[in-house]
Amino acid sequence: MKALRSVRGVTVGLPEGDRLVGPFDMTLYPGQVHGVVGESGSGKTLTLRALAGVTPHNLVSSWDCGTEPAPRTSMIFQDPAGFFNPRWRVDRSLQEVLIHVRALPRREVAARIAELATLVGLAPAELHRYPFELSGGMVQRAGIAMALATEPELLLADEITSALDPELGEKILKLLRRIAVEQGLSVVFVSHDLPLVARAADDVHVLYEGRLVEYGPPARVLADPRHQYTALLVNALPSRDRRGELLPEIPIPQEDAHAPPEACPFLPRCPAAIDACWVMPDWDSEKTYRCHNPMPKGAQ
Amino acid sequence: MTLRWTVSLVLHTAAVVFLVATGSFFLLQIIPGDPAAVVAGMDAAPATVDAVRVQLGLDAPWYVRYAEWIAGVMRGSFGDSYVQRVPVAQLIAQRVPVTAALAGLALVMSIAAAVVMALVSRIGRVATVLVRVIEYASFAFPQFWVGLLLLSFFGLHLGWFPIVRGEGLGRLVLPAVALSLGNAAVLSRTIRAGLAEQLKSAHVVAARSLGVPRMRIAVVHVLPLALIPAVAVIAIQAGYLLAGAIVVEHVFSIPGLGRLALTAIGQRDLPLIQAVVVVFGVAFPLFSMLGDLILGALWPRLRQSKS
Repeated sequence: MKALRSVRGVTVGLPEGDRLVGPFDMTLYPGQVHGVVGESGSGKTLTLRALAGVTPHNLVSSWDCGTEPAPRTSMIFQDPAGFFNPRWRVDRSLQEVLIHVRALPRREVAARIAELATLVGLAPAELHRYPFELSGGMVQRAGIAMALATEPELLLADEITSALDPELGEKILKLLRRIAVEQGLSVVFVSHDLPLVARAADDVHVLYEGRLVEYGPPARVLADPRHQYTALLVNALPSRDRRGELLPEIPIPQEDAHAPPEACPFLPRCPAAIDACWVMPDWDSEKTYRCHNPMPKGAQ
Repeated sequence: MTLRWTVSLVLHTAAVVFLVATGSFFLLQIIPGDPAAVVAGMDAAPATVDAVRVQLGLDAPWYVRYAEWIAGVMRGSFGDSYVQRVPVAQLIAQRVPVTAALAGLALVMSIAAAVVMALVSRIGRVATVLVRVIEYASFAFPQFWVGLLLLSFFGLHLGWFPIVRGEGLGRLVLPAVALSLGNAAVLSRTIRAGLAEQLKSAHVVAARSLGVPRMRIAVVHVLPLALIPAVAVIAIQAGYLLAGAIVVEHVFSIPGLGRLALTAIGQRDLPLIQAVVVVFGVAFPLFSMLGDLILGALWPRLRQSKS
């Protein structure tokens, strides 16, 4: 399949030069959902904000798509209600984007809003309400409608199911998948929930302290993790086979036990660290992990 | 909502009127000076002064005079002026439009200036520093001094505005500027804080990520939200503007409520002083209620939780 874009050298850092995220590359395909998983503070949101062009003002970011232009992006945020201007009804917010971003003529706006409502499974009348009058699931659907209003090529979804109960979360993800396929757009779906990402995404990027440490199809990453961090992450998931057992922990490092910038970021917590780990390894030959002492193939 | 709101407004106002009327009565009892002596004239004989005292009803014990005063206020009658011998209500009614126009103009000016300053401060660091300096300066300079400065420069030197007696709004421009400066500074600070707070919020990041133009986000998306905390400040300031009018009307010799109050104090015209104090006092709850109404219009969620 032809890639939508190859995003290269994604980095986010302090203006003084300290790097918080990256550099890493991502290949985006139309109609696919690309998962990014990582713990709090691993740089998931920063990555998305960099891609969306809204890096926090005290940070700097960079990336490019080679010779191709950057894709048109829209971002959907974690807190669905906060996505909307609290003074406006949802359709007023949509109208704002349609008129002032898409430059749609006013007489076409109502029809387009109805179209977007149908696309995300809402009645147009439900959009004529204030965000605080909608339920969590409805407002997240409205958020997706808002993101789609700009007709993006790349949809960036930041923990969009965290505020919803699991069932609603699944529904929203299904909706997102359907829209991605129907509209032929790429979705980057970020979450701390590995099983959720594995169910929803076509591929999984595992992020640790701003570095991409493992990449692959979800089934492989879950069944046969290679990087020590991913292995521990998978091992810490509840499982039917180990009913009644305590879940294993990922060791927590001592306070401020940060690896030096050139080392593998997982070094302070890694149970299998070797001397070589003081220098961050490159990708293996199949481009699936970056680890000097990986889990053997098929170990789990 | 409307009924409850109206009842609450009436009760609030009545309570404030009672407290202010009581306060002004007792404060005026303890200030030095004998109104009877002032009314009778400098060289009047003690017998004449006593006669005037009886005529004005000042010989009655304080609790009788207090009861009469409160009963009058509750009926809307403030008695007659000692000096001019006409109903106090009539004197006040003549002056209210002048002061209202002055304070209203000052209020509009201070809001406009504050909004402009707050928006300008978002341009960059230099602009922020500049706005801050202007804020401190306009807050620090006393009104009477600014008033005199404005008079001598725009009135005398440039001759753009009338100095003594002018007609219409033109004569109110300079005093309104003098009156509005301090308020504009406080308001600008409030709006700037609101802007900074709002510009960090998720919906602004969302609007930016969707490509809504920056200027539009600042003015259309964020400014009305930033004005919400400012409305409460404006409502209080509106009351203080009336009080500030006392000084400014004196400097610019404008025949408003403030000048009336000053003259009345000089002449120990007790009924007039008390009445002006009550009028100023009533303005505060009225403006605060007006502020609540405007807040409801700006903030849909508030409207809903009340209905």
